Amino acid sequence: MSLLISTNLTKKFSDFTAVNDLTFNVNRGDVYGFLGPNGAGKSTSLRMVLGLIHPTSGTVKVNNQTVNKTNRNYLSSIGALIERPDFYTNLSAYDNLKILAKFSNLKNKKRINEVLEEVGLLKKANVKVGSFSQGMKQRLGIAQALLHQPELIILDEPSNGLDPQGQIDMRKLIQRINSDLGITIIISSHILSEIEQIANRMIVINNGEKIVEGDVKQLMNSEQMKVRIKVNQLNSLKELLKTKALSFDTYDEFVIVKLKENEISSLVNLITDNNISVQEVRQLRTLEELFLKWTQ
Amino acid sequence: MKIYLLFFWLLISSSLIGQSDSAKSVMLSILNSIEKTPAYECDVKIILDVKFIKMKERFGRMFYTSSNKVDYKIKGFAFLPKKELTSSSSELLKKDFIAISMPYQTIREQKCSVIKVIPMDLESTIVTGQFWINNKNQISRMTFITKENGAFTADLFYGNIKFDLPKKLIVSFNVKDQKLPALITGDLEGYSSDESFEEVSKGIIEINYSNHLFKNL
Amino acid sequence: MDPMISLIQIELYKILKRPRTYIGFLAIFIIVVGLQMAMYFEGESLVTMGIQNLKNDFRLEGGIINVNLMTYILMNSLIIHIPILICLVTGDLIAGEASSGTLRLILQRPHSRSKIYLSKIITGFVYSTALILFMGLTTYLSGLLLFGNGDLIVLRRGVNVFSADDVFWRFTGAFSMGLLSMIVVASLSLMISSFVRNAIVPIVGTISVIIVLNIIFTLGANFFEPILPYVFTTHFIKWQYFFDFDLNYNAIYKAIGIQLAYIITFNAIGLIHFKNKDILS
Repeated sequence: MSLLISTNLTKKFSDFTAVNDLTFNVNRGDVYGFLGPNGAGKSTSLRMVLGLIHPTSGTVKVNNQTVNKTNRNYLSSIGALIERPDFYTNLSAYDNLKILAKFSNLKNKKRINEVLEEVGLLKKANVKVGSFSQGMKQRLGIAQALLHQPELIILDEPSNGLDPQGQIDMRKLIQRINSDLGITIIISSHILSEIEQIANRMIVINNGEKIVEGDVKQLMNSEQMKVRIKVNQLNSLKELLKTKALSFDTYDEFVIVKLKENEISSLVNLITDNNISVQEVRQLRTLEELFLKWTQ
Repeated sequence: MKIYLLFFWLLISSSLIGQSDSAKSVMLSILNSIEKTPAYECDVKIILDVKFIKMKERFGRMFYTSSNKVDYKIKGFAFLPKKELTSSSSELLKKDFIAISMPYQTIREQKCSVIKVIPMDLESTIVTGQFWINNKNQISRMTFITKENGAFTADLFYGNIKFDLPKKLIVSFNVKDQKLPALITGDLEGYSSDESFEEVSKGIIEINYSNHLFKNL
Repeated sequence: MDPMISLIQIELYKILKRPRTYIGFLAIFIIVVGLQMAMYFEGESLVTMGIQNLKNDFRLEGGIINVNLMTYILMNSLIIHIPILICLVTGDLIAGEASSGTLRLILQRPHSRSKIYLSKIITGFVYSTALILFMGLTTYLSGLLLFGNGDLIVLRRGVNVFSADDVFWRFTGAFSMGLLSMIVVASLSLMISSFVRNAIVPIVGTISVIIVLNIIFTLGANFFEPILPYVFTTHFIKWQYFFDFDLNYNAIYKAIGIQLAYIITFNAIGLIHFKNKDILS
């Protein structure tokens, strides 16, 4: 069931079109990847969902409520972290959330501590945000998005500026939010491996237009990928591949073959049936290559 | 003939000398009554009528110690005549002076003898004074021309106060209205171009005296 | 709780937590105390200069320098000093949040932009009122301590002398008029603030407008004379109308009307722009 539906969403600024006729939908329970190169229109699209930017044309519906200048109630069901996590740096984490809780008409003050604990910042509740690291601010950004128990959370580049451990922690947090709390998530990111790991559906946009949209695995399966195979009898493998008219490249002691994902097991069986011992089979084609292909 | 002319001249001169002396004696008797006034205090009500000064009447207490010492205790701020009239009168009459009788004039339906007083002291701040004396030997009006403070006229009104003290005094004089820099006043709108500056206008101060309390009686 | 009250509470909380808010109060305290100390030691000579001509023609009885005169003099700071202090806070209300990114944060909440803007307007008004009240109280208390009470002498279109018991309502009117002028300043700075993302622009912009217009008005350029009554800075001194001996009610009502028109206009422009602008920061 669709939680968010965008129909022919367009945004024209005076000198260029940032988003052009964008249609997509996000189902309840999705972790929805929003992908595109820099300047593709991702942030603009997400800002239009949040009412921060007014569309030139097209509509966005959230929970069957149309997003427009006068209707702001739908925002009760959305939490968002757009671009960098900005807070009142002269206030503590708790005070920042206290302000935002009041904005959201949240009466239960305990909720503030709950979300701080959720993101691992309870011990830093009374520390001024101005002294927070980037990672802490990102987590606080998630906390403010969770504060009013939304149905949908929009995260724009949540792992930006984080070290590898921070990125892992952020990924785990997002997965936990989705799986444990049942919150639908839209995540825009340049760290494509991250999307690959956590998103189940995605859209790729470029120059403000949709390129592809759909299930992540399906999109990957529909495309051939490179598989690297290492065997004990390299020449025999090469002969075998030639007889099956499979194109391949040789690299050191490896053979690299282009296959779809569902063809890998068949090939391995064929190799072993021909008494060639397989030492390694490795998938080389990732979402990154797909992304680059789609956005060229 | 010569004898008749000499006799006529003597007659005229004696009458002239007689008139100066009588005018002078009148002024001296007035000085005497001023000097004999004991110390007293009384209530005062001061009303100011000057073109460029706006204020309501002021109330206070006046403390008269001598002709040269008059103090006020006013509730708030007040504008008073630059010089006390008793002080001016004393200053003029205490030193040598010439008193000249002028033709009678009627002031407020009272026939008054008019005496002009010219001080002999060249250092005197008063150039000349003129007094209108009523039939009760009270000063109805006096005018002073001073070297530094211009000219001012005082009209005196009497009631039943002892020692011939007036119940009301109206002093009129010329006042110069001058525009002050806006940086001092803060009045940045300034004067309109229709209004005239540095105009000399007539200022009037009216002082009403009551509830006299005499000391050392 | 009414959402509007919540929003106002939030805005007030935010400005109370900012050190910048207190600069205005500190500055006023310094100005008031400084000027009064200066008058305490040097006031007589200054006053003498102002009333020298009167001393030539009259004997002056009673003190001139008192709390009422000091209050009157200090109200002239409404022309430049107080507007600057007000801009420091009100100019930052939107642009400051835009540059720090927190505007994005609060506009993601389920409140209309109109309400958010309105809450900031009211916060600006509350701050302006607090500043003016503080100025009045500080001036009065310290002036009473140093100089005592007395008649107020105002050199305005001549000399106006007001009894000590006749000045309280005049000062009430004057401060109210002064507050109205400062609300115009707050409205202008808030309007500019809604257009920009740099917090310095509305502060500098508003002050520049005030200074330039004040210079033109003070120089009394004949060329601008027809429009001067409708320029808002000319009304910064209209509080002085309450110190005319006989109040010119028509002039006062006109000044109030023009300033209210500016307040409404500035805020309407700011609000409309704020409602329709794209938040790109």
